[in-house]
Amino acid sequence: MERSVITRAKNAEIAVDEALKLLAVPRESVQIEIVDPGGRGMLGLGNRLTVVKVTVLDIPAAQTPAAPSSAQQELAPETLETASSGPAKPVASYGRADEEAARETQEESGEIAIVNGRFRIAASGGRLPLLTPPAGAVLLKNGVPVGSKVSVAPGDELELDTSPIAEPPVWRIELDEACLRAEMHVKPGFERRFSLVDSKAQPHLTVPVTETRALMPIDEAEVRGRLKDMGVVFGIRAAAIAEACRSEHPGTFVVAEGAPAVQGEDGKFDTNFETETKRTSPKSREDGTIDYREIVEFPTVIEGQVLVRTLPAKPGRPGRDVMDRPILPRQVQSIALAAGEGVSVSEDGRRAVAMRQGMPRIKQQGYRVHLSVLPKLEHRGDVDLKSGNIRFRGDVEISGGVQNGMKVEAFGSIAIRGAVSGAAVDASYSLIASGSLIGAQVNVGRRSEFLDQVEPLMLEIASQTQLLQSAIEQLSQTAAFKLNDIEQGGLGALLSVLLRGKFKGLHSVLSRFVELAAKNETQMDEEWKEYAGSLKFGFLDLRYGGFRNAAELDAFRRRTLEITEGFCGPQDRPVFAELQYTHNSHIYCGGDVRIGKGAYNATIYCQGKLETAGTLRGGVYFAAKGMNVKEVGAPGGVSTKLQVPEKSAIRAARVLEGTVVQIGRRSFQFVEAASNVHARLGSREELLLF
Amino acid sequence: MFAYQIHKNETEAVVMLEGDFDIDSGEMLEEDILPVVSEYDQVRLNFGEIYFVDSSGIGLIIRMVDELREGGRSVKIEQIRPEVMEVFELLQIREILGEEVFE
Repeated sequence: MERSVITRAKNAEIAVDEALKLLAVPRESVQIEIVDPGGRGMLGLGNRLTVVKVTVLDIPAAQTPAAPSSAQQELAPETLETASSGPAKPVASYGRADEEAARETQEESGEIAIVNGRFRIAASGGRLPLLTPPAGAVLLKNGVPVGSKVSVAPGDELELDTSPIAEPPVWRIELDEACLRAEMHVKPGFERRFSLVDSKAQPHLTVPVTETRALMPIDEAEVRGRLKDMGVVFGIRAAAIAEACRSEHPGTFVVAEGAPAVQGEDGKFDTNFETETKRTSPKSREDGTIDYREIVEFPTVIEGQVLVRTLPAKPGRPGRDVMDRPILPRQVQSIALAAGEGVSVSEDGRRAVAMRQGMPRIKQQGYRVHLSVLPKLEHRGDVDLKSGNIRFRGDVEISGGVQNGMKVEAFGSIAIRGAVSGAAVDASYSLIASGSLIGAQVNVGRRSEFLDQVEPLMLEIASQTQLLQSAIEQLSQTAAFKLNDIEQGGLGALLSVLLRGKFKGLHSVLSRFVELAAKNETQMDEEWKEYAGSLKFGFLDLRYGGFRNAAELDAFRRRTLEITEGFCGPQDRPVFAELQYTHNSHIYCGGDVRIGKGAYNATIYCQGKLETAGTLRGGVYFAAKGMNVKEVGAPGGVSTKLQVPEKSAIRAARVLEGTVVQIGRRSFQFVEAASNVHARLGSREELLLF
Repeated sequence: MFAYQIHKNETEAVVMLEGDFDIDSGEMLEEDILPVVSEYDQVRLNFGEIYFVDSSGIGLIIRMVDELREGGRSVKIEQIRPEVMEVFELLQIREILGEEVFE
């Protein structure tokens, strides 16, 4: 039997004295343990009292058989804890008592072991072994699953649930947007089984188990069924399905794959003539004259020459999606050759052949290639009253000059070897004047008024005719409409009704065209006249029954487009004017203007660049894309003005006093001569001169 | 096949037309019907038994209506069958002749 008391006082001495008093024993017969030495509190907060435990040693125990329990209770406020005799429970935090407690526990504990897969529970005294169930597996104690740490007694029945735990596979099939791939996403499923691992006896057993996993394969038939439900019937890969169904790892498998379409190629064409404009300087002959034939300005073709060969379009191959639907490749376009004047297209549409010698022209709009050969007129000598004016649909070369009051007009380009004085020159593409231009009116690259007016009409005629064709088509499908009279007498009667009703607008456009054509009859060549005739007798003058049938109407519409393409659309040849010397002339050019020697008192308006290696002396000069001149201005004070838009610049090696330069809206007059002028606008639109 | 009957009273002539109104009926219309009905102030063309038309027939109707109206007559076209009306609509005959003809 042991008796002990714990006391608390300001210091150890007082505490022990107090304890001895309480136990009523001398100091020699006790063991003293200082539980807490006391002292200043943490951070100086409050004083802690000293705590001591005084235990009576066994030998003198008999001397003091009874402790006055009443006295103990009276002292309770002074006593933190009083442990009296009896089956003392160990107080964990008290060093010595703890050791004893441990010894006592060992003596009384139970143990649990696993031997040959069976639990062995041994318990003596009041202590029972503890058991922590295995993670994942189910452990039954007396038939009830164990959730967390429990104690077990020898009679308990412990059993590991060894029935398999199934985690079924998860999978889905996804189709891409184009239905070209079916992908199977798989998370494999497993059956897990646990078994006990033998373990030696211990008071606290965390039950050791081993896990065995068996793959739960996906049913291939189910996958196939799903594919079928989704409509996937083409390009199914059996091997991939099998692999996906047996995969032990999560993954994505392409279980069906369609065949994409193989794209074809559009038609192409080869050009069999020089399309580039070659420029070589005219050569001087030994006798001092100039050989103009050396100027290769434009490509020339001869009669019978194949101008263009087409390479047929290669159609693609259709593919198939996984739903077994065809995937059509992109439609390929073939090159359609359209014959303009002087050109014929072979029956198979593969070749365009020049029907005469001249300048080939080629225009491409989309997959339509329009070809024509412009004839060339070589005029020997001067254009004068004897020769008459020249008006020609093609290129014109004049070996002499153009005299006062005469006019030269060409749908193509013009080359004039001699001087032009007091005459008008009008070229659709370019002008090369090797002589002087004096008092001349020059227009280069300006389309005739007739073409300007007629172009929108023809586009309207083409589109309205197309609507007309579909209206007739629609009409012919109605039950109550008889077609006999059309088969016998042509479309005339029907057209006259349609042009009075639904296609009133087309009627007025057609009438306007006929009016313009009549006014400009002199300008029209055979091609135009033929077209205008077919329009008039097809739609308006129905004496001969109008267009015979839908095919004729369609041919008319296509012809309209062809002719329009022939004169409008992008310029296929450069527009420029190349002059030597010009005096008192008025010049308009849709492209660049180059002046060899100089200009005096001229008005030049050009949409391209103006360049001269000579002098601009007096006059007004405008160039949309800028100027580069050697010298500008007149010493006599004749006013000379150079003008360009705000984005362009003027460069002049020498500028004489009095010259005005204007860039956009800003202008400047040179008070004195200057060199190396580079006039343009700065970033803040200020005028910079050098 | 084309046939007609004309019912007349003092001011009005009603032409009951029957059959196909086409290129072949033109002669009858111009030579037989037109001279008779142009005597009356009001002319009603009954299309109830017209089953087919063609472009010449329609041209004739337009010409006939124009001519009668120029002579100060009032013309009406009545009881057009739906399938014939479809053709009239496509050709916009109403717009050409004016709504009043179809009232």
